[in-house]
This record gives sequence, structure tokens and C-alpha cells, in this order.
Amino acid sequence: MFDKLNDDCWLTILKYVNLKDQVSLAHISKSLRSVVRYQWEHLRVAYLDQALLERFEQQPSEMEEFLQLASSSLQNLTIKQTDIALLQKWRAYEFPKLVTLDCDLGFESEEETDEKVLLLTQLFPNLRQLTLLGNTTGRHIWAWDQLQELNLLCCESLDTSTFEQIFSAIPLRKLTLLYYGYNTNMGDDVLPISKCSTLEELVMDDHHLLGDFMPNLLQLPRLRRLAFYTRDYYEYLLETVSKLRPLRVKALLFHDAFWSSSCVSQVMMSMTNLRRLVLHDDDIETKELQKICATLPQLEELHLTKMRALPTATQLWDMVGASQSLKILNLSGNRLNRQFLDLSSECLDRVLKKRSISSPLTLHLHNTLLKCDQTEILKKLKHPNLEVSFQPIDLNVWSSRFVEIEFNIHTD
Amino acid sequence: MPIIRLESSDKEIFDTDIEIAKCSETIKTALEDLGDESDNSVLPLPNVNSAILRKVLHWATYHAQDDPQQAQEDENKEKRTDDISSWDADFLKVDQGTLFELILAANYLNIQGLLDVTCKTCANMIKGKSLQDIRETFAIANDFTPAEEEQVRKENEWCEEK
Repeated sequence: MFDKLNDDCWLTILKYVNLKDQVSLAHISKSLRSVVRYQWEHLRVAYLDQALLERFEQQPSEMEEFLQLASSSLQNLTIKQTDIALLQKWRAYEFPKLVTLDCDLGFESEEETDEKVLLLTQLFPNLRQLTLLGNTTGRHIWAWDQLQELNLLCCESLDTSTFEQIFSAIPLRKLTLLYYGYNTNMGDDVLPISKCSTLEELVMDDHHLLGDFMPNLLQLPRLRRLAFYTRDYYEYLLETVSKLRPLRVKALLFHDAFWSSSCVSQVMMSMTNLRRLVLHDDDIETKELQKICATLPQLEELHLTKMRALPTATQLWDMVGASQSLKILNLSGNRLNRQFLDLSSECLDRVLKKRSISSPLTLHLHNTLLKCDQTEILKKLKHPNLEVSFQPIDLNVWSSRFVEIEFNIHTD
Repeated sequence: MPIIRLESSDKEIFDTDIEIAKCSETIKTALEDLGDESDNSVLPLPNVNSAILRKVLHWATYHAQDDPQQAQEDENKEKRTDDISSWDADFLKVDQGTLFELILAANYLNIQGLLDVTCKTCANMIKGKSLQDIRETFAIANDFTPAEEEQVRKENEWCEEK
């Protein structure tokens, strides 16, 4: 009776079955084989992990069948470490729609990886987004002249003499160049990146932003996001921003990267266009936070999520009272207790009565106060100028020890 | 509470809250076609028997308050199958015949959430299994001819040995 699962159902099941198991399913029965083949003919996203690549090495006919069916529809491809000989066989196919590639090059010799990258530029000439991991020198990347997004992760063999060509040939909009630490230091050789005039987003390690880098970067007309992995230089870098372009800063996010820095609190005072401040899994002195709320005239959103320590409820509400502009206070992910509710309900009227009903404050309490009933929370926090939400806010908090700066594009 | 009377293939009537029944796109469309006459009318569901319909409605009642936005997944990511809620996992502790009938019912009634979670459960039964195990699990007959079979066997020699 189980043969009766129809093709529609099987296609939905296949969505959740990895490619290697799909290859197996193609050998179960004729009808399943035709379902799998149909799925491949319409495949847009493929993830080729090590186990599947090994199987393809042993069974080239399976790879040929897969590529024959899927090559013309594939848009997004991930390839784990593999031998170049396997990829050479891909030359028999065309990938006209393939625009996103994520490839782990492995840690073979530079000559071999250069050759592999050259092959990739020939196989997939239409890429818009490229992520490379491993031993690339950077050579041949410039051949992808339609590339908009380039992510180079732990590419310890990068030859900086390729930068000039890459960053002048490609109208890149987003670049990630990350080592997560000091194991690679290219010094001034990274400067060509800071002159890539099409750049909108940049993600790097803090030690590569020193010297002339930041001043150059702040001249780029389209730059709207800078994220950096930081250990030692965040104070210096934020100070540089505050000296050169304080009014361009629209939002700041610290993920385990603020560390109660009074220096950073101080430089933030000059960023008077700051609308959003996010601290996640971090520390800040209460008196610094109070000063920020009272001083920054545009501050609309304050996110203090999953903090290591939080001001008391009374102190938090005093900050709300001191700010003319605050619209969102996000305390999601913190350990709050009943006492927080009791203290809050005593403060609400005092700090909120000056607001008009048309500009209420929204308090976000996602994943907190889990022991309290939502109706009880809403009852305690009832005020005409307050809205309470239990929904999460997606802040793109993606990795710890990062500072993110969002820039206004037209100010100064 | 407005009621719709759903009739299973074996003629059992299920008086169902319209809002819960509407998690099925198929029923929702049928109700829209009926318009005002939908109140207390009988809607036959000839492809679903009473045992399965009872289970489907049980699932739908529990998930009535779900946020439909959450069902939207990023197409570009590899699909996860380890994110089945504990309630759903308990609900799907059924024999394989029932699981397949639930998949068919979810497909016929067009209930995306139920279809996703049942198909995930089914995919988990396939993961890392050998050809023979999959055939046995799903009771699928091998309909390749001996010649085709030989070809398949050769192709798979290396992985069966492992």
C-alpha cells in the first residue's frame, strides 16, 4: 500500500533529503527514479558535501546524470573540498543560471588552488556572489567581473598584489575579508580595498582598518555598513569615525564588544544622528547609558538584549524619561523577574505621561519573564503610552566580538 | 462558533470549527465557493477516512494559533529536519502506514504545516539508510529489470561494501 505516496508527496519529502540520499533513492524503484530526476531538473540550490563528492568520485556516471539534469537550473551551489580532477569533468556542462557559489578550496599548494579558481571562473562565469574558503592567492578572481559580493574567509595565502586588480576590475558592493584574529596581517597592503568606490558593505578584522584605511573608507560614497571583528582596536576605530564623520553614523551594534568602555560612550556623544544602539551579550555602565539616552537627540531604538548585567528597572525607566526620542526599548533575552514588573509599574506613569498617545514607547520582551503569564505582564505594564510586544526583533546579530556601524548615505 | 460539517470517506461526520477547518486551503477554497450557504452544510472529503481525519483535526486544533509567517523558510539554506517540535514528534509516533496516510491527507487538504512536518519525519527515516533498508521501510517493490538491476548493483558496489 505504501507505493501509493504520489509524486507530489515524494517531491516534498525530497526537499528534506540531502543529495547523497537522493542519489540512493534514484536506485530504489523506477517511479522514485523519475521523481528524483524531475527534482534535479528543477533544482535551484545544491549542497555538495564531502560524502557526496566522494561518492561522485567513485561513481562518475551518477555525477554525470546529476549534472546533466541539474546544470541548467542550478542557481546556488556549495562545494566542499574536492579534487580538481573531479571538477575538470564539469566542463562538459553549462551553468547559465548559477549566480551564487560557496567553495571550500582546501589547503593544497597555491598553484593547485590557483588552477582550481581559474577552472571555477570558466565553469561559472556569471557569478554575482562568491564565497571562498582556504588557500586562494586571489589570482583569477578578477575574471568574475559581474561579481557583487565577495567573501574571503580564512584565506591565509592571499597575495596582496592581486588586490589592485580585483578591486579595480570588479564593481563590488559587499566584501568580507575575515581571519578572526591576528594570524594574518597584511598591513598597508589592504589599502586598495578602502578605495573600492562601489562598496556598500564591508566586513573585516579590526587590525586591517588601521592607518589610512578608515579615513579612506569614510570617503566612499555608498558605504552603508561596516562590521569588524575586534579585540584591541575598537576604541581607536570608533574614535576615528567620531572625529571624521560623526554625523554619518546611523546605528551601532556591539556583540560582546563594548566591554564597559567609557571611551566609546564618550565618542558616541558626537554621533548625534544615531538612531539605533544595540548591545548584545555585553556590559555597559549604567551612568554611561543614562548619559547616552539623555544626550543623543535622535536615538529611537535602544536594544539591550541578553545582557550580562542590566541596570535596575527604575534606572531603565529613568533613561526612557530622559530621552525625548526613544520609541523602542528592547529587553529581549534578559533574565527579568517579578520585581522588574513591580518596579516598572511604579515608574510607568512618571516617565511616560509627558509623551503623547501618538508617539508611544514599545517595550519588547521576547524570551523573557517566561515564568509570568502574558496577561499578567500586560496588566502590570498597562499604560496608554506604552505598547508591549513579545515578538522577537531580527537584528542580524551573527557573531560575537563584532562591532557594526550603519552609515547614513547622504549627510555631512 | 460557526461550524462546518466535514464528512470522511467512510461517512462519519465531524462538526468542526470553521476557523480550524480553514487551515486546509482545500476546505477554505470550498467554503469560499459555497459562500453564505456554508453554515452547517456538509462538506464531503472522499479521500480521507475517519481515523486520519480525526488525527488531522487534532493537529489543526493544536496549531490553530500558529503564526503562518513562521512557515516561510529561506529557500537557499539546506533544509533542516531536526527542528520538529516535541508536540509534533509525539503526535507522529504512529505506524508508517498512518504516517503515509497523513502525508497524503495533508497534500490533498493542502495543509502546508502538516505536510512539512510529516515529510520531515519521513525524510529522517531515509537518512543514511542502505537501499535494502529503504525498500523494507517503505515497502517499495524493486521494479527494475534484471539488466537494470545489474547496472544499479554495479554502480552501488562500493557503497554497499562500506
